Amino acid sequence: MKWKPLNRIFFRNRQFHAISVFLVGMAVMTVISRAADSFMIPQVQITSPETMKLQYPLEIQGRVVPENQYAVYCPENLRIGQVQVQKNDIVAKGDLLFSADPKDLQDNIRKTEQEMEKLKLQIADLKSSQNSQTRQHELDLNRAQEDYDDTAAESEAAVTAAYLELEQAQNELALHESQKPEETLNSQKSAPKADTLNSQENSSDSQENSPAESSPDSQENSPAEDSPDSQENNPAETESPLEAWNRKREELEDICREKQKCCEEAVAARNKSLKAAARQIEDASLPLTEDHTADLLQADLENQNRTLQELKELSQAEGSVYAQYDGQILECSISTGSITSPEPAIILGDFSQSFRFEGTLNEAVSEEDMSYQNSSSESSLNDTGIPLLEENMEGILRMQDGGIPEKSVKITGVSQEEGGACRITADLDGQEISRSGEAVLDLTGESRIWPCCVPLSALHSRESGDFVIKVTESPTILGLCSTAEYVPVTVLEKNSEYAAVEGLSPTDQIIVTASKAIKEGDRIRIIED
Amino acid sequence: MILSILKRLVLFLLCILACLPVFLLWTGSITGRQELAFYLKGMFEGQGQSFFPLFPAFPTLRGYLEVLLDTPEFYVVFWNSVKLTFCIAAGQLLCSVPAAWGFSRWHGKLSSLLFYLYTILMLLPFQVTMVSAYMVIDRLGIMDSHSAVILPAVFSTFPVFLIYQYFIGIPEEIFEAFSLDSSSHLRMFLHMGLPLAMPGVKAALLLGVLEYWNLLEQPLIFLKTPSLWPFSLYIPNISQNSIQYTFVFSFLVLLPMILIIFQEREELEKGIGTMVPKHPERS
Repeated sequence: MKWKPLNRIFFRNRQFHAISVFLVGMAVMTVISRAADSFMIPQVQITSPETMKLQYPLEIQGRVVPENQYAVYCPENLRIGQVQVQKNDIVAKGDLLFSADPKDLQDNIRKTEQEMEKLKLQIADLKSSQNSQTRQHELDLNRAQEDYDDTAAESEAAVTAAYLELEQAQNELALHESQKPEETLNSQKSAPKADTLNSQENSSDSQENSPAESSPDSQENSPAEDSPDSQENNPAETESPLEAWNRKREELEDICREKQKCCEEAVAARNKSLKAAARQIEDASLPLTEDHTADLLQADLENQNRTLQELKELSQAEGSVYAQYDGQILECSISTGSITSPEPAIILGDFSQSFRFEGTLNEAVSEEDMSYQNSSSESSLNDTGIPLLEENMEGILRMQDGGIPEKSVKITGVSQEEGGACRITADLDGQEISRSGEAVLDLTGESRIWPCCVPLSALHSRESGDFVIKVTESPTILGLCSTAEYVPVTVLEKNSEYAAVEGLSPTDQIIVTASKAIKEGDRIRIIED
Repeated sequence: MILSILKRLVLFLLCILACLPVFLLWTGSITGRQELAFYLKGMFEGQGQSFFPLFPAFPTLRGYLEVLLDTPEFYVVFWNSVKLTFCIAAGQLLCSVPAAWGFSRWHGKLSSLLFYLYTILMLLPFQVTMVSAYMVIDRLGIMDSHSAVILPAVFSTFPVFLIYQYFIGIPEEIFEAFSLDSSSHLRMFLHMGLPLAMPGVKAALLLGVLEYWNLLEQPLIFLKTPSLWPFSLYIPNISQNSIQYTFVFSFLVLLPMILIIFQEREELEKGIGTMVPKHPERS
């Protein structure tokens, strides 16, 4: 088959050339465009979220100090004449630390002795006063008791007399009752019967009524009946023996009632006077108020005595205080001319024993990073951003003067202080440390294991929150291309390099670095490390 | 004379009117993005009036630069269109020319029936055959691939019909004279039939290229993967912010067709002119 004539038939050279030139031109431009696109497209490095613990490198400033420390005290209010040492000085046993002013020391001794004398006098006065008060109290009590006895006797006698009078009146009434006269005439019988009946009715009425009501009637009626005029004017009604007996009997009954009333009044008066006398005894037998002023003064006296002893001992040593151990001055709160206080004058570290590191960690994580801690209940940091430190954590100890090589030490004590600071101690047993000084303990705090941690360079923020840029495969005009997708995440915890996030899968690929800013949906080119 | 001048003037005006869309396309392609956004404000915002200048206030070739250098997507869809058009045209050439030769050389009832069926199929629009074509393509497992567009188009009936018109226009005596030298039908087809019907073949090829270069419905239905799309599907995806791209893009994909039409205009006219039926028995 001859293709050359067919070519000539189908495509004349000029026509074919125009189309082919256009297509070749487009092919060349395609290559150029792709090359330009490869330069323009953001080049990114990717990584996958890791399961890891977040680490917090910590640098704890502190001091290496002797394990045993001793406080050197000086009596209070004593002027310091001379201080021979200052902070961080190394001293040997027997070295002079400071000395008190001899004149001020003698003045203090004298003042102390005077104070003691004053106290003794005050105590004596107090004791004398207390004794007189005790005697007065006893006297008052005795007098009250005597008054009570007198009152009881007098009132009892009055009551007894009243009762005797009452008994006598009752005896008279009983005698009168036994001497009742007999009736002689029938007429007289009927009249007295009627009278008796009336009197019985009256007596019954009087018994039913109160004595106060019955007595006036009887008194009103009796004068009329008893008066001589009525007997003279009305001879037919002359008083019979029975009537006289009845009248006498009523008089005796009135007397008995009066005596009874007198008895009751005498008993009431006796009770009242006894009650008043008993209260006088109660008041007098109240104990005296306890006064411990003397005991307090006695205690002050003993303190002054001890102070005096100390001052005298110091005076015997000519006011000089010497070191009791080989060691270092850790604190020195006195200076020449200053007045001593109850606080230790000098704290001396004992070099003969082991050393330990003491440091304080105030803040480990910045406030910006701390904002993430609120959202997580499982954070590895406390409220002030300090990683949770535990005993037996290992760290590297560096002396700041560089005199001793770095040593690996273990934390032996962790305590929280006010303000959230953390106090760290580490025993340095067996370490070749012979002196104290400033030191730094390098620690690495660790969080719990987080399943999804991304580098901080992959974490971005915008108004709506944090996000990472995930690589996704998307069908585009250019084929299946890697594109950027913004994925919102919740930061659970982060340190200076990584952040533990929620919202990603461990198999996701996220963009760590990019050659230019990436918008959502942009094509990206993944470059190998 | 005056009538002739008037006729020419009217025709010239009509020509200008016909070419105006292409001119406006070119004008839009050299107009800046801000200027275009101002002119077409009403079209995008739904209020105000859109207008188009005959020439931009500040012409620029920035759009061409950006499309040609910074938009690799343009080349993907361009070459997808080239691939589809070339494959369809080549396939039609391989299938329709022998089919048309067969219909023109063998006459019989079955042949006539088949030709009538071809004619009916040619008259059916794509929307009618879309469902059946979809099912066949799906059953063949070529959905969402270029084959889903190419294969149905390769067996299009229109080029068979067009080339057939050319073959039956060749005098029978020529084939009888050739048969004295050789009894081979293949030789007769290659050395006599094909060269003599070449204008019809080229016309069918050009019409096919023009049709399938602007293919829209078949890719829209059969192609889901964006990387397989021709430019006709990509242009509607260009957003308001890149309206300038639309003009540049459209003008660039128009260029090859303009080249072909300008250079093959005579052949096209000749081929279309032969579409008048010449076989009294079949017509």
